[in-house]
Amino acid sequence: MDADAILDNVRLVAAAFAAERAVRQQRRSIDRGDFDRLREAGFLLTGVPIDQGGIWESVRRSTRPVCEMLRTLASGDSSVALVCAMHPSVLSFWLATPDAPAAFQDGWRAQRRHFFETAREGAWWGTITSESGSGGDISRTAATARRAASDGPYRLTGQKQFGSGSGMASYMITAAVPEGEPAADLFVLDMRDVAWDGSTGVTLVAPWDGHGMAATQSHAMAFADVPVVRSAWPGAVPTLMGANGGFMSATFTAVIAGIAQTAVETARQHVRRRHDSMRAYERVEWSRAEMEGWLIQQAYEGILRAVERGEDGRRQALLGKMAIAELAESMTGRLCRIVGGGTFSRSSPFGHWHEDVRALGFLRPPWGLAYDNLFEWSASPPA
Amino acid sequence: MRRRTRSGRPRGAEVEWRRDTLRAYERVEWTRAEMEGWLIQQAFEGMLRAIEDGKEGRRRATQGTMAIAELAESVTSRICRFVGGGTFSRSSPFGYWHEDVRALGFLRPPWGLAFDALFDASCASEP
Repeated sequence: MDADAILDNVRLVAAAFAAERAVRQQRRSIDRGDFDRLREAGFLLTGVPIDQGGIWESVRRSTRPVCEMLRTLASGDSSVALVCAMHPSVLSFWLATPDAPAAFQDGWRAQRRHFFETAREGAWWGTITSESGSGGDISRTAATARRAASDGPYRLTGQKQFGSGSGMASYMITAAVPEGEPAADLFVLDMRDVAWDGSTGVTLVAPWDGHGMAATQSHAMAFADVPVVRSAWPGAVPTLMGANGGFMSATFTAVIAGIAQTAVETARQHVRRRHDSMRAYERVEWSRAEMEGWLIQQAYEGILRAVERGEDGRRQALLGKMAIAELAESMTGRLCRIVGGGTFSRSSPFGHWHEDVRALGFLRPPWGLAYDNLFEWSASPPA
Repeated sequence: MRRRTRSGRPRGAEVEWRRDTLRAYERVEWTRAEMEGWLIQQAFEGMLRAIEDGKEGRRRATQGTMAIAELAESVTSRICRFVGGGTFSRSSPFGYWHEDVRALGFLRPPWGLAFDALFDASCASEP
């Protein structure tokens, strides 16, 4: 199955989701059946390289097709699209970096092959990396990973939150400081059939109760001595994030661009019915909302082009992500004011979309960290 | 020849020269200014693409013009606040640029007409 075929399949799934929008927007939990359909549609192959039967070629060549799938999916269901975005984003740490230094090369290659194989066989990947008070900065993690014997397995202890896809993702990446080392590193949790009652060391601390992206199960969890697998290239987090080249920001942004586009198109039907009786304020707000919607699509296109050029992609993707986060909040707010007070109702899609797009600014890297990064990169863009 | 400040520094070096002493507000304003500058370039590219593709070129060009008019005013205003009160001086280029970009919103079609045209074009566009 190639990328075009998967995109066609995703279009059909998204259209079916859109037809159920009113029911879906009331949900507060994941329906596994949705993800079974997307697995059958081939979406999991976004996390598998071509030489292992997937569709991933490189950051430059794969960002657009993967993002287009996510943007399409978001037109049907925001929460499902966001959970799906985690899968290729997380695996991109391994996808985008085929080679490691000689000392780690064999282990790195074996780990990559194994992780990709799990995705090809049907495993969803996610992340539960954030911690309260860290501001989204992995290096500030308070979680630790220790091992009883020098060559034994690592065990994770710490509090984590925003684990989108909890209960559905088979594997989740996280960050922790290995015992005796100065800096955080990447680890992988096997979450298959793990109880959340503390009996296996995993405790559900707070079920997700977000105003938006309500059905993502982005739970908070406590981990106590839970087995984890360390990245086979230790200490390479900055390198792996650099190789990612803006892919992660692009995938999250694609979801929001899809929601924004759908919101404008839906509001346009309302405007067409009322355009002769619209007041001056409503006419101007509508024109501004359309302008912002158009800007969002240009910024999204600008991100993709920057990543495809491979020049300054990471910085430009973050610039675009933050610009779109602000534009999308503004635009959906305007749409609510134009359509009217009925958008406060939970039976109207506009209030849901307004809350859904607010998620983007909080996604990695969240507002404060993103602004710090952009300021630092202004003088010296990341490699 | 690059224009220089009174201190003799090239204008483009202002952020780099002051980066370690910038206050939080100035760091954020600079980052926002860069973001808006980046958006202006994307909007400009989007206008060109729409015209080249022959798809709603006129409407998209008007949309882009108005968006860039607002963004350009905002970005130059942020830069003035970031660089400081010296930008009020007629010997500083920033105040000139801020006034120069304000012209765009008044160029044909000017604000009121442009917004009316955008509304009408929206209602007349294909569903």
